[in-house]
Amino acid sequence: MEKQLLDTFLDLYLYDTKIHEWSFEKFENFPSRYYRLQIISALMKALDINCSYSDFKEGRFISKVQYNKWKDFKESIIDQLDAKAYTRSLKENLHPFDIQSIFRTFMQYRLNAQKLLGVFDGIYAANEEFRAFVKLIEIPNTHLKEDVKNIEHVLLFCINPTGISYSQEELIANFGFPKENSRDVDEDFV
Amino acid sequence: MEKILLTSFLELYTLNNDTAKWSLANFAKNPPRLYRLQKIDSLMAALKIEGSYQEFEYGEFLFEEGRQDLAGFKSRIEENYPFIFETVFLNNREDSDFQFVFEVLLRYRIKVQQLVNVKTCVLEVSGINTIPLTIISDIDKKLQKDIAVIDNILYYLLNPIGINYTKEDLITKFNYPDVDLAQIDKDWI
Repeated sequence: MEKQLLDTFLDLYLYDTKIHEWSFEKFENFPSRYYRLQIISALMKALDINCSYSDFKEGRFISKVQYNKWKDFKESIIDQLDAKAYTRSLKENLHPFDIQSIFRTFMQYRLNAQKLLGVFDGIYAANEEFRAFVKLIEIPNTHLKEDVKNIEHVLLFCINPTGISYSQEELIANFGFPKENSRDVDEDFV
Repeated sequence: MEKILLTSFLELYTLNNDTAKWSLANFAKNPPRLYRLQKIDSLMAALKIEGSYQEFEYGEFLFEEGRQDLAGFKSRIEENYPFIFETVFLNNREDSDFQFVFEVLLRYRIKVQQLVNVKTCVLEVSGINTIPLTIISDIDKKLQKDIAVIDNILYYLLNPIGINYTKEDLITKFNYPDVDLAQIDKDWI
């Protein structure tokens, strides 16, 4: 659930970078965006994150819950990571406010990285030069996608520290999760 | 010269991404922007790149007659990055769209600059937030190594015939600002 929330948030950000303006009214005539916002809104509710989309981006939902679980979390991931900087950073002692600050920084970075990863979405790819030179971009982007996973671990932990989990049916029945699947929505719109 | 031109453009772009509004008058009271723009003006003139900053952003100077040295460009790219030509038959084409290559690569390069700039912004808003910065710096460093290829191609498109002036020449002939930007940036903050 937390992964789908983060992915959908990043996805919608590519459509519209003005997070503070996101609303069902604004996206009324844009089914792809409306649908993504429905997913975000349902998953936030289900994960007990009760704040605006821009407060979410700023990590203002972070509380003692994340703080109390942080120690276990960092021990669980330290073994998987070989980046020295990462390990050293996570070893330092934190305050709840620091976790929010880490979340905010990582989220800002991840959103900017998304712009890089999705930089050519929607460009007509028939141009021969484009296809040739896009290879140059695939290399840094492939590495970047891999590298930001370290950041995503932290974001996902903060979003769902207690491991809340619902089935798709429960999400639809209780939290307003959309019934359609994204392919149908996007195809209709194209 | 082409390196300083690209760097100055990217730095100014992260400070103000609306190239249509770039002018010495608009930046008169903002030395970090003003001197970057002066550098850009001077280097564009020295490298014989005409047109507005917006046209520069879209590589329109590459439409100009005689600007594109197709053979030179190809041989250089092919020598350094043969994989580009593996599946695409650019070799057989008489007219290659350099303007498009420039536009695409510069657009990507701008996004990289904006990503790398996150670190700077974070430092400005909260000094204590250094913990995640080591991780981010690590990613930035790898990325910068990866994009050296892209920068090299942009450099070539900016200065295909290798025009070269000394700093003194630029100052006397092309109105290049004789200033220490690092110091100016520091004073401004």
